[in-house]
Amino acid sequence: MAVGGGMKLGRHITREWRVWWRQPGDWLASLLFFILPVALFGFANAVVPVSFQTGQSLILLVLVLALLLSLDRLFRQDWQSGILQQWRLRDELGAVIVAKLLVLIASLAIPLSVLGPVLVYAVMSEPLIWGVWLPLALVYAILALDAALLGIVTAALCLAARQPSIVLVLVFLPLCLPLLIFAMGAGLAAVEGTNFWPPLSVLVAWGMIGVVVVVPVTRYMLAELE
Amino acid sequence: MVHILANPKRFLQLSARIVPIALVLAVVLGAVGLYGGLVLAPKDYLQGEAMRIMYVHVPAAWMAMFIYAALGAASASYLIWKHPVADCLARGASPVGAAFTAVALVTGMIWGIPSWGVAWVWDARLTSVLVLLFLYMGHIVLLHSIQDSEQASKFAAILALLGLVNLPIIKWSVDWWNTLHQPASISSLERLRDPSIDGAMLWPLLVMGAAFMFWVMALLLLAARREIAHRRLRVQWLRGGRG
Repeated sequence: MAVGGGMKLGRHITREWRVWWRQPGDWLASLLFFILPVALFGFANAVVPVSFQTGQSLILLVLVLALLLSLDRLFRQDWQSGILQQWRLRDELGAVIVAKLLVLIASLAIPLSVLGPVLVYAVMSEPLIWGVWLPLALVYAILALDAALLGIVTAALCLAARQPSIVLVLVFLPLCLPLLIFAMGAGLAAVEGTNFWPPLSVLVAWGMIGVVVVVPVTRYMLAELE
Repeated sequence: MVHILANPKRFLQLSARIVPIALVLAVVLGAVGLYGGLVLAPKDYLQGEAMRIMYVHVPAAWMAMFIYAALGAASASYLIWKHPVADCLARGASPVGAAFTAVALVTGMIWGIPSWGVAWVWDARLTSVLVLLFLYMGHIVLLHSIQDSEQASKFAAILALLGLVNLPIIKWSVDWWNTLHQPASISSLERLRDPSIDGAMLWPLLVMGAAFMFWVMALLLLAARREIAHRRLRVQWLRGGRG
């Protein structure tokens, strides 16, 4: 049984990965959406400098927005073509959701969380201090993972909406704001050299709850769709 | 109790009795609370007369959070037991909650000008209440943007449950972060026995809180009754159309 489930999951991951690479416009748009505003922010920063603390907070916000861009397409093609319905009948929705989540994390959340702290230093023209960079990278990575988990649920939530892109923005961003508040708090503490673990552990707790809750909730919603 | 109210007929009978009583209590308590707050309570030694906006701002903020908790409870009840009345309550709760959140934000901004010198600061309390307003709006938009009514109710219920994480953030934001917004004066029953606010100012606030509670109760019940009536009309219309 477990071997069969693992094979199903492996098959779906391979499929998702192929689809993702065959449509480079989707993920490239998200990556460019992240890099471009950050580069423009760097330009603006050269004219009117802002503090390193403010800069890293703004870049956290752009990371969440870049992730948001990729969410609308997550289930849409499969739903419109009827494949999602077939997977539901074959009881494979759970494996599909896990596969989509893993591919989203590997292809977008991880690159964004690696790029984030690199770009922070590039844009703010600060000397690299590993003691600051490493905690910052951790904050970016955990925020990106939490946002990806939340993104999967909200993408399914807005699938049947009449104007899904707009509804997705209205639903995803308010839910993301608590995450951003704690991530910005942790980032600020990391930059100032104070204890960043309390806000970061809230983010980790959020992620752990997400890991348990996201798949059954998303599966329930996808099963409800006609 | 929840299961007894799940029957729409019984809910309509019971709410028809509760609504007028709740409205009368809201008006009477509101009049007493406003008289106590605007006339009898002394002015604040620092803020002067401007503090009197508290008698609208604080109960509105309490209700904004209470209505979201009620929305979450109704949503959970709908998802678990499929109670149609719970769905009607949830559908009615988000516009009422959005209105009270907007009142709390606007009165807070008006109060902020004389006491802080600015109408708005991006501190944790104000931002988390603004997020609450966006959550209510997201709930309303999601409900109306999905064509299948039952599907819309289920998805909006999930959104409402996800948004519950914001409530503890609002409640404890003034303790967790250094905010310009003052900490709660009566955050628990223990603090109620020894509040950081003078008794002459406190009792009108509590009376206004009770008045707002009855007002909200009446509004939520009326909104649910309206939704039930709307559904009955639709069923009648469909039956008539087929006949």
